[in-house]
Amino acid sequence: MLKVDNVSAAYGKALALKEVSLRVEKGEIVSLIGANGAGKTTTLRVISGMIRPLKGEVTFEGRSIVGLEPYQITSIGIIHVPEGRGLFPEMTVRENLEMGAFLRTDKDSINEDLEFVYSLFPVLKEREKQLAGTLSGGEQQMLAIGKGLMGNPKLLMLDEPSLGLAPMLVDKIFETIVQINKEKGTTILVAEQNAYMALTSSHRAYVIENGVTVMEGTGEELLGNEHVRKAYLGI
Amino acid sequence: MIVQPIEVIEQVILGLMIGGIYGIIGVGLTMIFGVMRLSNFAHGEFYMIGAYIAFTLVSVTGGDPYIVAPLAAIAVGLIGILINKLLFKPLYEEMKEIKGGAAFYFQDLRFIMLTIGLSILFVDLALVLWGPIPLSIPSPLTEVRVIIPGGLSFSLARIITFIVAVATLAALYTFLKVTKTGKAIRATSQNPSAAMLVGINTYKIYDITMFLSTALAALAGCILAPIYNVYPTMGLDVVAKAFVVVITGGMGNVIGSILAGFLIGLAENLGGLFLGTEYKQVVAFIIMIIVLWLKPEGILGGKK
Ligand SMILES: Nc1ncnc2c1ncn2[C@@H]1O[C@H](COP(=O)(O)OP(=O)(O)O)[C@@H](O)[C@H]1O
Ligand SMILES: [Mg+2]
Repeated sequence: MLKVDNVSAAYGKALALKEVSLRVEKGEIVSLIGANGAGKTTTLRVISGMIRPLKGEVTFEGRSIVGLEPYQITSIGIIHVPEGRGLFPEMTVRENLEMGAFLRTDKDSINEDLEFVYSLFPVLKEREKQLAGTLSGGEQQMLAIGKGLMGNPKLLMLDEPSLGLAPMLVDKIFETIVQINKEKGTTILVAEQNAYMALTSSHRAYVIENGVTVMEGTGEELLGNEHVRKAYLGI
Repeated sequence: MIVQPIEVIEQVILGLMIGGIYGIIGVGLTMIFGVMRLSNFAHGEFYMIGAYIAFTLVSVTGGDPYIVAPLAAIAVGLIGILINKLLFKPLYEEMKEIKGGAAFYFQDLRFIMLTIGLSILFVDLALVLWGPIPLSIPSPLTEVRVIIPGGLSFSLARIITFIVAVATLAALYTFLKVTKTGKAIRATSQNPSAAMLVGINTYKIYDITMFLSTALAALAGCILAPIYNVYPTMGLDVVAKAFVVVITGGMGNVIGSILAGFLIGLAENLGGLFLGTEYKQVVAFIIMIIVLWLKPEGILGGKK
């Protein structure tokens, strides 16, 4: 479904990605794990069109998407829930969810998706009229995921969904990610520093180090890998 | 000097009337700041050009300035879009590559100099096209006096100006609150990269914002023209006050600018009455300093 091939990217003159390659098949949960500054966020930004790669190719459903603007990439079904959660702080929870469906006109299925989001996160329904900026960290992350789902994604990309959350909430967020994948069949790409959570919840994973994807495997394979255990699981 | 209550009432009414105009000019400037993250130092020139275009339309067609005002505003709005596409867009695109969509353009010297340069260019252009001598646009409505109970009277022109200002601000507020495009504008202002990621074409939002901002400034120039004179540097006289309104209200906040517009209009006229007219011009800055002292982010700062 998604293929990233030998991509490099830079911020001005500073090279952030040297050689990133990965693929995501339909129906999978794939995670991209790596230390802070390894290039996870930049990889997602290249895919969603926020940054143009210097080199390399990104294809989605067989078609190159390099050079498309972010709004065009959103319109073909790739929804990026960015680092920092990407909420509109002075809009209500409900308005944020509606903005998530900005490009859609299918009223009935928008309402169905809204009900689905509320069933995943009942607290969002309770806080429907509250401004997003006043939510707790965990609620904001739920809203960010909910807002992403409202775009009816073929591929949902989540950037560090566990960041800044208490361990119990981290469990809950990853359970929900698996639930979305199972119930809706949504393909999901997660960038995550919390390697243990990511690997136990994903079908496959990539390890990124200093802008290079250095390893690939199923969640189980990587959980058993010597290097991964030492560097990312602290075992 | 003893101030009569009736004089206070008169100045309050005049203050609210001019406050509506400050609101319109300030709202346009604050939208550019909030949405496009840039300080438009040429904002006053769109106000000036609006007045001149109204003057020209009135001389050519013989129509009333209040009738031609919407046309002049739309014309200036289109100039605003053109400037955005030709001058600003290449810079956004270049900076987006570096910052990944979260740039703060107003800190960029190129944007600052570009808008200052535009301001100088437009003043010169007006000098060449219309000459240095202040012009007046006659409207029969300035002659009609409306007497209100208590013995005060105002020209119909001023009353229409006030009604147009309030109606325009109400329409703008409704537009931003309920329409899809309005929500997209607010979203872009609150979180530009998140706006792109929900599928908003932010370049188009910049076009729309430039249109609204410059058209509003032009509208203010048009509806004030029959009351005041029209001259090439009239924009320079309002731009500083427009920035005072924007900063006092909270940078980028539409409601804040509307409130600050009325507050400053009121304070100026009452200040002129109680302190003497020689202090009138400084009152706006005093208000700004006091507000910033009590609340450095402005009256409604941080909200959008
Ligand atoms: N907006 C930016 N401007 C300049 N450099 C950046 C920016 N964002 C990230 N970088 C740099 O790019 C590299 C990769 O960062 P990032 O993709 O954010 O890593 P991760 O998400 O894995 O922590 C780092 O060296 C980081 O300092
Ligand atoms: Mg990151």
